[in-house]
Amino acid sequence: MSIKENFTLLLTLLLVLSGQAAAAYSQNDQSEKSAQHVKNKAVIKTDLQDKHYRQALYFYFQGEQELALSQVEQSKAKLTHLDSRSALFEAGLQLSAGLLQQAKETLVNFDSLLDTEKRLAKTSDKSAKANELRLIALLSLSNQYLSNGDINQARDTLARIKSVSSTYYQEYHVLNQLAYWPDGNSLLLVNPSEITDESYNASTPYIQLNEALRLIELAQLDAAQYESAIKALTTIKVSKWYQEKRNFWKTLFLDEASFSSRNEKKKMAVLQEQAIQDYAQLLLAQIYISQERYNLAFSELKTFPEQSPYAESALFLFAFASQQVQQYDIAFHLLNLHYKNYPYSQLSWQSAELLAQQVSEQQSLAQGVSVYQSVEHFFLKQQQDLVEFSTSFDKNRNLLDFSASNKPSSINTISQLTQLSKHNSGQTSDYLPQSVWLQQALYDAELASLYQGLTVIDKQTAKLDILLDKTVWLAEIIRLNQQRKADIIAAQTIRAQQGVFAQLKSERDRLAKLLTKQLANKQSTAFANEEESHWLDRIERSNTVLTAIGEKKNTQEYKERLARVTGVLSWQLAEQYPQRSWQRKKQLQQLDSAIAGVTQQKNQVTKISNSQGTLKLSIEKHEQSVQKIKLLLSQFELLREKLSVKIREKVRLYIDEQGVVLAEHLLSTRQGMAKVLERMAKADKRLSLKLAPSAKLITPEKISTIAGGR
Amino acid sequence: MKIYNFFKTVTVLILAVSFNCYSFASETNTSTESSTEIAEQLEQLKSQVLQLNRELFILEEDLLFPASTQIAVFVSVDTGQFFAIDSVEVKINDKDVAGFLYTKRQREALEQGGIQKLYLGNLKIGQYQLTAIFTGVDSEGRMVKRAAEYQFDKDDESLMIELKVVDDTKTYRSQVFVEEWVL
Repeated sequence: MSIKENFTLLLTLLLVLSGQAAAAYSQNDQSEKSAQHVKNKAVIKTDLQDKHYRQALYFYFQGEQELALSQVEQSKAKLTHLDSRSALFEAGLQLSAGLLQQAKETLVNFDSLLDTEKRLAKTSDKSAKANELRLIALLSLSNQYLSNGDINQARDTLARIKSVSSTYYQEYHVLNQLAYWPDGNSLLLVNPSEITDESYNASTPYIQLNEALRLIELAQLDAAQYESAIKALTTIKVSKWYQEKRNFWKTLFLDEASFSSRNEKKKMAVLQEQAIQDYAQLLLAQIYISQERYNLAFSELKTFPEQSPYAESALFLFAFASQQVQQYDIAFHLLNLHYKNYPYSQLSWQSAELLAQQVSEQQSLAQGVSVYQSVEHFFLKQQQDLVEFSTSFDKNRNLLDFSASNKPSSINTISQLTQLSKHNSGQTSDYLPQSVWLQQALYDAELASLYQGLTVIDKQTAKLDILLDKTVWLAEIIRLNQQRKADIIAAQTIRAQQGVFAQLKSERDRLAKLLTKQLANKQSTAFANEEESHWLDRIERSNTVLTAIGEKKNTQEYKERLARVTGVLSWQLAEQYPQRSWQRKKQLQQLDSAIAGVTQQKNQVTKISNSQGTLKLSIEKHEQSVQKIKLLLSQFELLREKLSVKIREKVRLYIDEQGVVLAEHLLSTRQGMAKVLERMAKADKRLSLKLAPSAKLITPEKISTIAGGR
Repeated sequence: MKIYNFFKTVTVLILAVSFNCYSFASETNTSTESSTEIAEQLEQLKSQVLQLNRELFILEEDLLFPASTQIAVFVSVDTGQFFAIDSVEVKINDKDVAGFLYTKRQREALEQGGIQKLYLGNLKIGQYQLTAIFTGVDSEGRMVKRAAEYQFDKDDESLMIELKVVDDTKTYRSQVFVEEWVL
């Protein structure tokens, strides 16, 4: 076999081996990689913290806060730690996902990260910025705790704030007011660093509003406080409120409607301003009524906007004030409107009674009785409605399916919830029932929070189901990997048995030895090609024949011809020798490097087939995940059960209490009606006496006895 | 500030004060405590789901895209002043590997500093050529294309390539730069 053929065979073998090795190598993992490749690159490393942070931002700016949080979590796992900026971002996302405890922990870590970064000589500007961000985060966290009714945690969080700039003073002050309500909290407040009285008053409607509320509470003990409250409310009522600009961090932590358009934001600001003024107006009217200054209350509420969120309360107060200032027509219409428009409100039930009372007093007794009867009928209907609600509520097994609203904007099924959550930045929307009783009950923050808990559980359960599906898919991947590994090991065993690699190496050694020998001998015929070899063979044969003929025949001419051919061929071979010997040496070098590559790959394959660890680890992780999912699913189920029991308890309590209130109203209505009837009877009696004085002898008791007897 | 929340809280307060409105929220202290406990449990479980999600994601990535063969292509946009990105197409060795059509929101997310992971795949060790073609609208509303080519070697470490659409204020055009992340 010529050297050339040997090389061709070797290269084919190498291709086969490298193909198998590369396939196996492609499944290698990071740990193996890091062990074998330690390269010191003299280039600046990419700021991966920044890159990962911006990947999360990509989701955040699309309104996919949940995905953004997942991205941050993955980044944390990959990078092993986050820088202060990412940590703060994580805290913001955790807050928006309702993970308060985690957010608090992240903020604690943020503090230490910040200290570390300060020590690493970061600029003072950056640290000032970081302090601001920390402040925003703490304010937001306190706000969340307050919303959840966790006053102690809110106070703890507020206590961690050491300085507040004027920009955030309003938020800080209001949160303090709420956290320490109804105590005065002026001693607890950090003084605003750059604040003037003028700007303070102009930009703090909520602080003033809360202060006025506090004064109203105090006024129950000390009536003099009313005047201060009136003064404050009058100021709020006429003052303009400008919403300050929001930066990214403020939006992340504090703004609920982060992604609404500019127009919507403007509209919202106008609405909020109007709502503040309405509220102040309502409070003022309430104070006037408490002070029995009905005229003032009447004129205050005369201009109250119809579309205000406080319209119901204002309507009631206005009707009451109208009655007191003897504007009976207005009062009649308002009371009528009120109880018909808000049939489930306790204020409207009072309105109904007031209406009947007013009609009895201001119009005729007969009309009064008629109104009383319709009011009684109204209360009976409400009672019946309440009983029906109670029965259907008790019958329903899944609370979220009960009375689900059919409005397109609302959420009525879990699938809708799940769908919504995919598009709604991880925020869990409130449960919106169709039943007005339940809607009323959900004004209770705790009950609403419990219902929200249910929607969260269903959403998380749906997520876990998806994860469970994923584990099935991962199990299949693991199985394929195992299969692949088994195949690699089997192929390697066969190759080891066949000794292919050893053969390859020995063949190479043989060729190298041959080449060395031939190079040493400097035989020009060593590198002859196929045609030349053929000619050499022919010359050899011819020489043999000529030798055999010897002197028997004249072969001189043949010998000369053969010598000429041999000469030409030798000259050709001699000419080609340096080039061909170089080519062979080069081929041997290529073969060596190819063998080195294959050896490396073979080692990799051996390593993979020997290292069961990586796949084993994956299998373990997979099994743990499956276990965890099952455990979590059962825990969620248990928690859902607990929540349902709690919700049922609370709704039951609500129903009972509404029932009691309705019964009281019914009783009071009947009493009122009885009084009117009595007055009617007296009036009838007076009239009958006038018309027939002899009838005086017959007492009403006797009449009723006679009527009963019949 | 969640002003609206404050507002709701304040509203509840006034209703309680002014109208002696019936409030069943404060009925039982034990009930409130228990609700807080439930809320805490729920939060813990939520946090565990998040953690589990992360672990499974990493496991999936490890299994499907091992670091030794992993290649990821990212897209980022400078400000989008001269080029409003509409779509991108990525080829490796003339073979289409990824394409994406951007919505307004996604484009804005990129323009606000987001980085999109466009493609995650596997490549064997070797030399490759990446071609990226972006289509979009220039500052005058014309449909334009921007392209970039990049030769790279894939070794046994994961490879991250970022396609950056950068605005050039001198030429009033945008260009595509390719950055290979140094890990």
